[in-house]
Amino acid sequence: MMNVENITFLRQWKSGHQHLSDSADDPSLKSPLSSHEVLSLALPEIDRHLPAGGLLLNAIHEIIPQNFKARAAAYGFLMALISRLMKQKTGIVIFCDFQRNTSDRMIPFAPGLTALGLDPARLIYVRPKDEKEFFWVLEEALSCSHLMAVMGVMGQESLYGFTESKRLNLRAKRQGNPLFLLRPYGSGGATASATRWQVSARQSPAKPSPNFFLPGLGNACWRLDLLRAKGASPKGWEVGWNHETLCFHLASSLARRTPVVPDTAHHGFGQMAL
Amino acid sequence: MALNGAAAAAGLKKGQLLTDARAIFPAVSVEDYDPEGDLNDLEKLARYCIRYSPWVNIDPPDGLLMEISGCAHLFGGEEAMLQQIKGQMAQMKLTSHVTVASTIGAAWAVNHYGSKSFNIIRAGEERQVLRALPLTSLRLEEGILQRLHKVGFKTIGQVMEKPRAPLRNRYGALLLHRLEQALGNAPEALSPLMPPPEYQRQRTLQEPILLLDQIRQVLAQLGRGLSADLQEDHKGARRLIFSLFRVDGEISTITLRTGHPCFETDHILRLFSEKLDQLQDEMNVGYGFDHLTLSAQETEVLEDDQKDLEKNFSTSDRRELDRLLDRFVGRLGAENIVRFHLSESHIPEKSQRMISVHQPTEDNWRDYLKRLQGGHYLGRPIILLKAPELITAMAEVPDGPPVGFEWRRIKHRVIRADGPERLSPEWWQAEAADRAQRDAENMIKTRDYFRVEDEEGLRFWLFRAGLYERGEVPRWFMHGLFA
Repeated sequence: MMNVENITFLRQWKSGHQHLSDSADDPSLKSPLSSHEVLSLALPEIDRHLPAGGLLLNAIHEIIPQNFKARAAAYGFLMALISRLMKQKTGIVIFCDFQRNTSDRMIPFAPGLTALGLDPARLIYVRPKDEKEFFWVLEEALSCSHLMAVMGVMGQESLYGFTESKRLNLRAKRQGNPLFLLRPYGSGGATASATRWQVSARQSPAKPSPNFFLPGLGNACWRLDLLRAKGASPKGWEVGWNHETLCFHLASSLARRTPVVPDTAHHGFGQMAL
Repeated sequence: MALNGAAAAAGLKKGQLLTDARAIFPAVSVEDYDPEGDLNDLEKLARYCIRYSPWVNIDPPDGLLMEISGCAHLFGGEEAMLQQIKGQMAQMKLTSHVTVASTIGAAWAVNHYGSKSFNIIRAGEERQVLRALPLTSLRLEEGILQRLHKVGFKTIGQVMEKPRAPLRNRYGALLLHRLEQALGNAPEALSPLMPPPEYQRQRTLQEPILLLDQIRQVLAQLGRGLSADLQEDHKGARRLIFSLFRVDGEISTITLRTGHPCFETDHILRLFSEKLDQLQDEMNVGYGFDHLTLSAQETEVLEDDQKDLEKNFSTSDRRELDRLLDRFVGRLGAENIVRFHLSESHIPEKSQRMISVHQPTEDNWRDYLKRLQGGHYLGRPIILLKAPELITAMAEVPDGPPVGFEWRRIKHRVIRADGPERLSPEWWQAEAADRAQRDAENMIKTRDYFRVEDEEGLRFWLFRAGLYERGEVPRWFMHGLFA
């Protein structure tokens, strides 16, 4: 399914990759952290900004939605990262979910996760009953040597802080397992995480739709704000996620387009009903 | 119906009217007859007696049958064992008769109708012992007993020597069968209340223990022993049971299941240790535990350790993941450690099921998506709501996408839309619903799903239930969220 977007993206990716391979040959440019495995986002603008060239795979990475409505976007970003990781490495991912059983609960839907690019067969879904159990599961999982990654979704937090994160970080470092944590809206504070991302939703690029006056949805787009990272300054990017190539691409050029508004006053067929 | 020793001493008799009994001894305390409660208590007692032998069953209304071949030596011989049992019963304020014999029939007869409350009948003595006992001790029906009494047969001895054929003709085969069973010439088996364990280690303590640390110590000792037993036979267990017997007749049991057969001492101890921590508060220690057993059930022969050359990890690595999952299951419960499983269903909320992590899945989610609508299909959200929520939407009639909707009191203006994707209900469900006349409207009506995006970039999965052309009043629902 080659179209203009993908070709431009491929050119970008190739040039970005070229840059990285050049720097890899020059030992003086190697950062001391690159000896450990990283997850690159395949987006040179972000990868270059991160000190290790990507997300360190023996550390904690936190994702926080910018507002309550953006929780699905943050969830999607988490799943996108895991999809990329699944492409790079083999193994099981422990998916620990602690949300209260209210109507707000985000229930993962495997067909949807597959559509985003993840393989649900490689997930083990763990539902602890309280926060203490949640952290126990994370700690035990991070200490296991035969996993690919651990991810945790918190519906609310009261026990998570610097001490707990330090403990988790220690285990992650020791075994070389990454922990991706989705924290609830409004959380923050000092923790031992390697990176902290804030995610909010952005309009997707319009796709021509055969049926209606409304255009179709494009690939998922989000705004990622790197709030903090060891050795990097805060920065923001507007990205899109390609579920086929499992790569991010910059969406800033598209964001400047004016949004398409349905022209309700003018179409002559049919009538509106509630 | 029944009375205790003190009442008998006071002159009361079994079967007396309550008024008469009260007349003789006004201060007598009375309890209601509760056959079910009694049966439950009897079962509880049977379970407690598993500490003596795993082969126990109840013998209603007031007895227990125990198979003790092979167990007596653990207690210092048959006599010592019976003394211990009688003593334990006395401690629990129960008057008991105990008898050991080579056959169930003989033991039962002597126990119920013998003169002493403690009997040991050696093999070969049955004939002599049974001679003097009444025929009722053979567990026969009322009818047969009455007829036998009428003719003058009262004791077993009278029947034992008589020719068989006429007895069989007149009184049926049961009489002789029971006789033969009591004498040991016909088989009678006892089925245990609970299946006896395949491997077991136990420890009886002189002084009952109360502290968690002490329990852990004994558990460690039992664990090492059990692990050695299993390893010797090259087997692993998938179910482990730790039973703690209290001095006053209560039992606490902790059962653990593992995904793969395990035998390692460390793993066993760790699993139980975590569970003990959890149950610490709930467990009622009472006056202490004086008997602890650790048993293994569902044992399987172990696979040999092999290296998987392709994937570059060995089975021992995979075992580490299995052990991790065992610990999760032990602490959180098997229903909370699950995998996603594909379920072929048109109704989206039913297209995925959570199955136990130990069941293997061969699901190919990519193929499933391809089948839904070719290629990498984006038409499914990553998050599903607990249940579809009613929303108000404005859309073009008859089957256009919504141009605006209100969900949880927030209005959204739609700027992008994909769809509709029509999902019909499973027709057999529709029929069932009609029959039951349930108001599960949104379950049985055809749904037209739309992917929509609002001006903020939030993406939703919503559907319209009900079609205009069918004359149904359509309603809109929110079902899921996209990234």
